[in-house]
Amino acid sequence: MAALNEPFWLIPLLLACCCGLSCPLLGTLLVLQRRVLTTNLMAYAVLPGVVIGQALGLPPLFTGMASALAAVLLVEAWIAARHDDAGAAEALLNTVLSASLGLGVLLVQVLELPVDLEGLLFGDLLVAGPDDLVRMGLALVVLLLVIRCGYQHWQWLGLDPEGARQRELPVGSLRLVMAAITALVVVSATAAVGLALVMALICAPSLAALADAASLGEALRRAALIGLVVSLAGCVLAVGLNLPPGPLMASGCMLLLLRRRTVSG
Amino acid sequence: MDQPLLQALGLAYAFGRFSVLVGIDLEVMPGSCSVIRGDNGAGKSTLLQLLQGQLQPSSGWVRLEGRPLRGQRRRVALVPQAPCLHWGYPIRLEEFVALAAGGGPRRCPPALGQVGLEPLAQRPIGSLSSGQRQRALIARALAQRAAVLLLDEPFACLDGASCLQLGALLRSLVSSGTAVVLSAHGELPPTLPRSRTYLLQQGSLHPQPAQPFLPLWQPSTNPFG
Repeated sequence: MAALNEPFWLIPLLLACCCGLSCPLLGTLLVLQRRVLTTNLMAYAVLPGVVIGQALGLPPLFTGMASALAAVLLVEAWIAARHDDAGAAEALLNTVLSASLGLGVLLVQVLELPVDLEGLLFGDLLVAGPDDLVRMGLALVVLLLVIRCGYQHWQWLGLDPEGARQRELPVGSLRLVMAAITALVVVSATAAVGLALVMALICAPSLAALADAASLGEALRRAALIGLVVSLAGCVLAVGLNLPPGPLMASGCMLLLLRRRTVSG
Repeated sequence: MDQPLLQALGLAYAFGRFSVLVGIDLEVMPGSCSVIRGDNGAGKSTLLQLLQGQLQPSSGWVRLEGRPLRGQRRRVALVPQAPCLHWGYPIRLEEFVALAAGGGPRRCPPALGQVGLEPLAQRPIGSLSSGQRQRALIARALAQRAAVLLLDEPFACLDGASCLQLGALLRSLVSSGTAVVLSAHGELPPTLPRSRTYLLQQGSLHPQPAQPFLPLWQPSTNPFG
């Protein structure tokens, strides 16, 4: 416990807080809009963009976001052009997901880049720096603004997208905004939990919060609180048990679901 | 003479190579009720979607108060037969209706009261029965001040008492100036207001002669009590 008084723990702790708030807030909207599979695709499609960014000396935040958005737009264009049913669409999406991961790993090998692949995939919270915290904090602020300014629009997208089109709401643009903010949060959360594990922090607190929520606002508040507790617990336990924090947080999310089942059963 | 509120001229629609609707002309007056009859697969739902602007016709046009639908589709509310709503969404009925009004709950209670759902205002929408859900969708249409209400097979899944209630509700809406267009392929409750009737057959719309309402249809009685 004395170790927590050390100032060098402050950044990982704050980063865990920001991540623990951002991911579940985003996740609540994504679960209600049934966009979780697409988000999983984005999480892995970030990798080639980050690698290319490093190779070209460009900010990996932007190249990662561009890569994730490009993958989603490509998949959705393919699905629309092929008129696939839900099963085929899911198969296509997962193929692109795996291919993105493979492409990222190949690029690292071919370009012989000094990329910490393990850190990218599983996070390395304890060595996070000020840049990572600023990135995550910015993503949290932007996310809060997006939720606040478009609250009714997000309700329409989750509740009745067809009704939203009837009322001439810009559904396509809203989905694009949601994809962009998703890419921002996922890339920013890389330092804390990693691309392979971020989905646990996005989904599990949201599911627990949605169980008895009577409104979107209530679900968002509960999800943020649960996510904050899981992230902080993961960070503290990582120090105490000398274990990697990203996998600890992801495993904690699984326990969260098990606990919920016990209570409801 | 009143101008038509909603007007369709020469509407046609095809699914790929298959022509569904051809040369549809329709005028809907304020405070009127129009019934579009036809067999399953006749194109009734497609016609209602064209009238709301959800589908773009392959030819012809739809006008609301003489102007194109674009920019004023909110004033034409479609209650589909099988809405793709997320009924498990965390939202209370009052907020669900208020969302359509784009404002706070203060605009909601009148719409809920008109459809008789005010006592259920605080209930999650997932707990509503099928009849209550349909009335909730109508309340939503009323909250957004729709001038035209399009209903796709509104009586198809309702029991006898609910059909009578819905018919009476539509009668009150028509008398207050709302134009109602509904599709049906079965019997209609006698509480429905006097309507213009059309038959959709082989892709064309044929006006039907006015018929007096006869008590041909009665709600079923409970044999156990």
